[in-house]
Amino acid sequence: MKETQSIQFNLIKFLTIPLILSALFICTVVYFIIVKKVTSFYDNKLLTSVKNIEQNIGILNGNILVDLPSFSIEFSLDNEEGYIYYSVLNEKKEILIGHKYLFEKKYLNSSDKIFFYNKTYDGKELRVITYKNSITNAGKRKYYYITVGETTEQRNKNINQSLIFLLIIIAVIIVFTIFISIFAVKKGLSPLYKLEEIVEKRDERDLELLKFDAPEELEVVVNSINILLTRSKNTIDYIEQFNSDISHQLRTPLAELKMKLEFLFKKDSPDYISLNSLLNNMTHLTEQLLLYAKTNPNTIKFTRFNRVNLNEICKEYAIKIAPRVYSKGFELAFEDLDEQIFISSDVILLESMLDNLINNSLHYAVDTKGNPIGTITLSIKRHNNTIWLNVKDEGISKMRKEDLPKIFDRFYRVDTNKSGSGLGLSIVKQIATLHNAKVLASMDNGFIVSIIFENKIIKD
Amino acid sequence: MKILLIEDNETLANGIYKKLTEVGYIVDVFFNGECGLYSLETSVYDLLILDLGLPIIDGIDIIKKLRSSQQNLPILVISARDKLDQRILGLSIGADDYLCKPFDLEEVIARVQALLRRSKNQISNIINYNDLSFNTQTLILTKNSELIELSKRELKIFEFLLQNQNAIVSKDNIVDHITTIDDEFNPTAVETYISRLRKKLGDSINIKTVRGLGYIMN
Repeated sequence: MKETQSIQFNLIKFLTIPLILSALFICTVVYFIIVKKVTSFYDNKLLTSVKNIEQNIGILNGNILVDLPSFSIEFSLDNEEGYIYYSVLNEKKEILIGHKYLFEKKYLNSSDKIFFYNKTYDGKELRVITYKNSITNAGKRKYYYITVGETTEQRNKNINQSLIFLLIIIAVIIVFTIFISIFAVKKGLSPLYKLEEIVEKRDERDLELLKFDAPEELEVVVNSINILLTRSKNTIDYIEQFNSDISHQLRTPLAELKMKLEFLFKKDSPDYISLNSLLNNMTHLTEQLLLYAKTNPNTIKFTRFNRVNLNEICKEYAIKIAPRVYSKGFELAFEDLDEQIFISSDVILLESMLDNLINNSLHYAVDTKGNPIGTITLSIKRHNNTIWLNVKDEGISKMRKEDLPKIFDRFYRVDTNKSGSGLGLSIVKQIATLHNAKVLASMDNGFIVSIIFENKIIKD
Repeated sequence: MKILLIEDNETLANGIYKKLTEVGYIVDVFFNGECGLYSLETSVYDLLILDLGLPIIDGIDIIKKLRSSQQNLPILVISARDKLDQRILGLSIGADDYLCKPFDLEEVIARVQALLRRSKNQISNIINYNDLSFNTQTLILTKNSELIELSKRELKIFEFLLQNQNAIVSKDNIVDHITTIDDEFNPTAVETYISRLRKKLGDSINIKTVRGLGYIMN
């Protein structure tokens, strides 16, 4: 698993979590405030009920009495929902009217006039108020206790409604916070996504500078990338120029050497033959080493790759190479494909690859006396989704099948008695790789090298 | 035949000079572009052998100047830079033939002869091939001075192959050469004409069938 979390994920995480927590905190506080307000509202109502009852308390013959029948009191206390209980007691705690055992002394200190508390009565949860007051008659102070309790449905219902309302608000805030965070993060990160898109779309071999109007934070990154690209480009230019100069500088003395040799020795003298052969080998090796260096994928200029018609290139190449093939005593054949195949290619490199393949056949498809054997066939074929560019000869190979893959290795030689640089097929493989193609060697009444262009064929 | 050789490397210049004079050509040699160009403007040559990397005036500039003055002088370029190198330098050579160093002197002679033959053919109407001689004007073909009878189409095909010795000619090329737009001619009939030519001219010609491409006469 990737250890570094994405910037987007982190930003959203660090934005939404604190926002959601604050929303929850605010809602909790609001909830408690609402509970307090609702309780206070209903407690006031209870107090009003008490005051209503109190208005009907009087003294008769020195005793406190309630001047209302029970049903009138109950009517005045009528609750919309739930039950209401009441009792009025005299100073001796004797019940004058109402429900027995509703009043409990333990809840009332002598100093308190009003006291609210919760209590279970008649199997129900009640909110109860006990009110203590006195009435003076003929200089005598008489105390009475009014207790009213109501079941808590009404207030609970109100609190629950508030709670539901709060939960809805919280949900809305959370959803809104997440959406806003995602939107803001995406908007904020959009230059990064754009850069990502530009980089993703680029061919990895493209060394052109990044054209991107970078925001301040990305400027350094984009500039660094562009500096690296410029350096890579300059390095490639330098290596190309260097290789080219080496070619030039090496070829000139070789040419001089060759010329001197021709004038110093007679053409049929053994000295001339062996020295000339050595010189030719050296020339060939130099050329091949330089070509190998020039086709290195890391120092190649892919800007020279264009969309080309493979059929046409191969046919033109076959026509061009035919005189050479025939002059060496071989025959040439070309097998075209009915459909036109387009590939992204550097034609000079592609021709160098074909040169190496044909040279390989011209060199090895010979009998023990060095006489040419048969026809060299250049063909284009389709196998399912792949296009095969084959060069086949009719030579008798000494190679074992298991050695076939090795022949593309640098300096691998099948027949060490024959001259050769050992680089020809590595160059072929290198150029094929530049074209996103694979190489395959096989034997079927001769030696076949196939360049396999996979899937990336650009269709017309 | 007078040849101008412009090559700054004295060893190579002397070698080529020696070989060409041995074969019988008259050769002027210059070691820099300026003198070479002056000589080109003041004398008449049949062929120019030119190195690309020259002091004072570069080989490419000489070719450009020659071609802009409409001179059809055949040019054989000798250079130490191959196709890949030339592209790096941004060179596009308007030369008739190109030889990369190092080369065999025999190869130089062969190229010189081929170029001279090609340019001579443009002036003369006679093309010689092995023991055959063909007049492109009168369409008369002789073998050791004896007339060989060929049909008009056979002669046209032979002429075309002759003009394109050592090169592939396709059936379509042949059809294009021997017919006008109005003619109806089946490309497969070319095979019949070729086999008749092989029969009538026997060992004097060597026409090979190149599968998938056409014919080559060498």
